[in-house]
Amino acid sequence: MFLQTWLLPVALLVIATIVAFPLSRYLAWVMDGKYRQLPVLSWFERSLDSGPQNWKQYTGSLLIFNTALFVFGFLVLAVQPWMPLNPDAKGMLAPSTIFNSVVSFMTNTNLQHYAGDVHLSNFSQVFFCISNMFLSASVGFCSLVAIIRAFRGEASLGNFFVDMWRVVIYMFIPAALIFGIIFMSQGSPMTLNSSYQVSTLEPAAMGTTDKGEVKKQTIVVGPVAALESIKMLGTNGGGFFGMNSAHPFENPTGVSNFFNTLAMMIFPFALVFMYGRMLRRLRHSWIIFSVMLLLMAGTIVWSICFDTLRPNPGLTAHATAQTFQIPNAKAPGGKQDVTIPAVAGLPVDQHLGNLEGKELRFGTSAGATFAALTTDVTCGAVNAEMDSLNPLAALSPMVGMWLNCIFGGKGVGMINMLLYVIIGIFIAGQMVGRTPEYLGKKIGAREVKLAVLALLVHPMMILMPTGLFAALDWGLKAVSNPGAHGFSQMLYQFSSASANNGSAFDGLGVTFGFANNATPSPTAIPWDIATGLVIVFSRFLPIIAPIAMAAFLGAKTTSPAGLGTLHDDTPTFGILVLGTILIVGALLFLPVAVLGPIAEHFGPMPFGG
Amino acid sequence: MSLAIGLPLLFFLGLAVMSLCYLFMEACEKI
Repeated sequence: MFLQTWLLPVALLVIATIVAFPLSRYLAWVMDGKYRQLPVLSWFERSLDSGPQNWKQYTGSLLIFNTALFVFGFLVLAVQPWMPLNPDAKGMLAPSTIFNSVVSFMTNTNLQHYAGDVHLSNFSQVFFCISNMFLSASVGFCSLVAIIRAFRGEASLGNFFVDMWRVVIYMFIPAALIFGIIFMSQGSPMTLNSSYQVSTLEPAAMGTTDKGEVKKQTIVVGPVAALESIKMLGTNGGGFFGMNSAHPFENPTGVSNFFNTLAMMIFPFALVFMYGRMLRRLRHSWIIFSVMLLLMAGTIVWSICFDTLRPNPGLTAHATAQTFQIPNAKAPGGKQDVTIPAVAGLPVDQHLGNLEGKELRFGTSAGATFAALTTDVTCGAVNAEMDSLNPLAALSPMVGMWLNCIFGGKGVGMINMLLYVIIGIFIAGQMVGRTPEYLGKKIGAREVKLAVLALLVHPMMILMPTGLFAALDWGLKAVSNPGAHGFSQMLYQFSSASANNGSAFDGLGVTFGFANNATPSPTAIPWDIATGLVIVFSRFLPIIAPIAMAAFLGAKTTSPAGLGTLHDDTPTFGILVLGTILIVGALLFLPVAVLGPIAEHFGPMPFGG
Repeated sequence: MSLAIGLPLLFFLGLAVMSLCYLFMEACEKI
């Protein structure tokens, strides 16, 4: 039991680290332009090179490129009914579903208020989903590279379009090809066919028609392996199927699950080392890597301890009916009684922990491990139902999204960590009465203002809309559970949107779907628009401000290290950064954690446990 | 929300929020 619980997470952390270190050398080599261009590709690269860019030109190019992605994505989804590769005649999506999906995919979020196998044609899966997965993943990558060049004191941050070309062509396409072949070998479909009509093993399992004819089952297929590889490598997370990586076509076996999980870890891991290599401060990046790895191990252990090693409290026996009150403004006295009937000892073996919403073909701890990792690296793919995690176990993915710097998405996770580094150094400098320095450059008021501004966007974009929706029918009509778990569903949705993660507590009713859907979720439109706005602001503002900060800091003269300099390659520095993350994170999010998963844990059975 | 109203409305909402991000970039220079 011990081995089968802990072997998977330990193996993943060790192998991802071993792969990431040499991979980082390749990434730095490519981004520094030291490679020899293939003749057939050099023309494209020369055509894209509009010349060296300062920080405003680089950031402006990034925003213009993403605006173009928005327009392109909107058009692709809006014309879906008339496009090829749509033999099942997938119809017109609702406007709010299109808006939410487009901003979600162009920002690497992939929060899906639809189910891919139900609502999207293969044309949309290829030209909307897969294309966005390559491009949005590269944008965060380029943002970090721009910051590194700024820290090096270079007047030019490179060229955004050339950087995008390098990341897509020399990194993501080769890696996606390798992992795509692995997933195909495990059984993932790779076809442009749309679906198969099959006779079920059990006759009439799908029912019969009015004429008494046996209905066939529709099995959706498509270019699943191609999507799956870049979905994980680019920490995109948006599934071909609504079930995401729990679906047997996206993730057929325990082997494919291992490579699925590894794929989302290697680039975020490697980027930390790339940062050190490009700045020639590898020891500094090892310290940052250690802090991130410690936090990641903590979230995995927490998730496993409270989910894999604990029974599902909803299935444990309790002999008497229990009544408790939940707030309801429309009920007399503002309180509504909810009665939970007595539950006899159900014939459910719980010695393997909470198995609700889990896929046992991956192993007992795979769901809890994946839940922690997918939120730490801001991927958002899921191989188990997040909404079914035990209450305290659900804190693990939430913390991963709230801190948003435990490796995080490619590039942006490291950028968020740099914000904590700047804040930590600033606080340490204030405590000892020295001007704070980073990389030998003095941190001024301007840099601290930009760092704090970028850091506060994330909690504001989570806490403000969660509070608003919790107070309105928009939230109360969407949740599927009364009390604390319903609050957790709303909190999780905005946390996921703001962290550009994309996973969700699926009990929340947020799907409109097709435009002619007669029974959409009643509050789908406000959820589509609100999470869409949160996604955009939380994506770009914390990229823009740090690039500006790095440019201003990098332009300063480097002063030699003295006796009182805080060295950034020591364990002391690591403890300082870790303390800053935990204190700032706790101050920002502990109150909502108490209102959501912690209250649920201590609440009445069966919601507590 | 009908298609005739919803599609153009949300399309221009997307362009508007991207424009706000551009204005934020301009503001960062003045901090």
